[in-house]
Amino acid sequence: MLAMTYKGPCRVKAVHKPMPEIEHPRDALVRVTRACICGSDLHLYHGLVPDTRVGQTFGHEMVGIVEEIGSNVRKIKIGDRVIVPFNIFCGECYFCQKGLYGNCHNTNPFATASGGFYGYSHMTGGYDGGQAEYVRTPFADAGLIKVPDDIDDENAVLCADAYPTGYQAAEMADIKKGDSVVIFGAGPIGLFAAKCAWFMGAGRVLIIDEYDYRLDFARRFAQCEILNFREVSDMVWYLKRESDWLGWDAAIDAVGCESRGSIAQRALGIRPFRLQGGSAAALNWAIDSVRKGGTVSIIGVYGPVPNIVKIGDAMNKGINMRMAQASVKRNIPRCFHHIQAGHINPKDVITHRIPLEDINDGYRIFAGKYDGCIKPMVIPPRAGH
Amino acid sequence: MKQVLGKSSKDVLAVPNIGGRALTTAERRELDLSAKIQGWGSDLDGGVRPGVPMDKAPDLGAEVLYPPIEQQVPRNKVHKSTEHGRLTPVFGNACPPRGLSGLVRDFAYGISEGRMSHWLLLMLADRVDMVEELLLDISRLRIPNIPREMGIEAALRYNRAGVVKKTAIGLGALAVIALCRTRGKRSL
Repeated sequence: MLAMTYKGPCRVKAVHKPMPEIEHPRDALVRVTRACICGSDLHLYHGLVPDTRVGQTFGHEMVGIVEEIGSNVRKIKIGDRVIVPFNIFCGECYFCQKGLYGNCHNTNPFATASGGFYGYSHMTGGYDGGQAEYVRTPFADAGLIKVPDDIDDENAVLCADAYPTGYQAAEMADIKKGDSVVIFGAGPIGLFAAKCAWFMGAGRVLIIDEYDYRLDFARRFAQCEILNFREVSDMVWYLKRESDWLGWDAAIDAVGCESRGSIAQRALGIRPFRLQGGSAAALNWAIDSVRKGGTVSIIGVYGPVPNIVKIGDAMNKGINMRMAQASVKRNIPRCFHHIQAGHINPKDVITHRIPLEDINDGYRIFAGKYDGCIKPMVIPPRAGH
Repeated sequence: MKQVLGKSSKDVLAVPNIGGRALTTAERRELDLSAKIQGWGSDLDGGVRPGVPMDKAPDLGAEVLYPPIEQQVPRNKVHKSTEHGRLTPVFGNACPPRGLSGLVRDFAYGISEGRMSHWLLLMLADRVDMVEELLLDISRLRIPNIPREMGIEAALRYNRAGVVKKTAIGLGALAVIALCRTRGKRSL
């Protein structure tokens, strides 16, 4: 089968690999019909995540058709059209029973901080991902979600990660009616977080990025205020002034460990040095711009290598900090509701539809923010439709 | 490369709500934007938010940490964090450890996740792995097309000036290094 393969930092290609197999009685094999490249895949692509091995297939946002099931799969049937949430989880352990599907204790022997994820290094379980024609899906009954007939593949694939993750970002921000919400990052997660902040009754939503084309899209997609941080010399001062010196009720970091805006953070974490786990500039802005007693929601991805974060400011301001990998399955029913009610059309964020054979160009376009790219979708040759 | 730009739906073309700046906090608390923003306030009630409360089953104990689940049989070496009580019943084996990088990974997985050295060794192993792959390709007389793997075609299509600039900087740096080395040899 054809699959995206990692060759080293900033090097990927589509190659023919052996078909995945059923390796456990609760596995299923899914033929991928649509996959996406996630912003967090770029952390892998740039070589920032430990234990990213040459030869791995990335991709944790996918939808497809069940082609084969293991002997102990009961609910999922061959031929089902399913969303494959990015979390791999057993559904039975301590953490799964609490609904913390991103923290399953039975799917990742390589580390205990996170559960298993598809195609996201060996730090999250060593599974091949879905930027391929087929993918092995462990714990099929627990994880796979049947797609309602009125939700098409392009909306469904965004329910595997980006949209429920954005929803959870807004939810963790503990938004109350009329709250002011500032969101760092106008990528897909930030866009969905902005949209969902309105669902939760926000009174004001501001989204910040450095690319005007993304901000223009955010303004129209999420109906929010926008700000290009390159246009202000002191981000925190500007945000304080914008909030009449109070600070924002909630701040969402939807960037993660490759944020721009601080030369020192970039120099220490990305280039030329690797003395911390990437750059945490956006998180520090979030801490400094939220009001005392406000909430910072961290949904942008950080790795296990430590970062220089203003924890002292967070402590002294009495900030609530909420953070997690999204529990996709937990959020899906509410996310479906908003699609079916016409509140949101997630596929609007898809700007590029790229054949799997050209995956190397897809990564370059997304990483370089070329051609107005917001969200690239990957179409395998055997997608079928 | 075939690609289609996203279609604009009614949703994309919605009118931005930019009134927030002009309102006082008290005025914002009284807002009702439901006529202006589809779905506004529909999840205001914590009862419909799926993550509230965060812990759905708070009285569980460690006895359910490793429930009885059939064990996947390892086909090759699988590393296990020292902070795990046992090998998890399911795991991925996308890329078994190999060569020198595999030895470094073996060593790293003997150190707990709480130590920085664990992660730094894994990152070192990743770089060694990359070099090993390159050498393996060459030994099989398969020269990797690195510019293509890096998406040079897309970069040239959408950012030709950037590619030219980076190439010029790279060549300039090489020229300076070569010049310095030549002068160094002369002075000897």
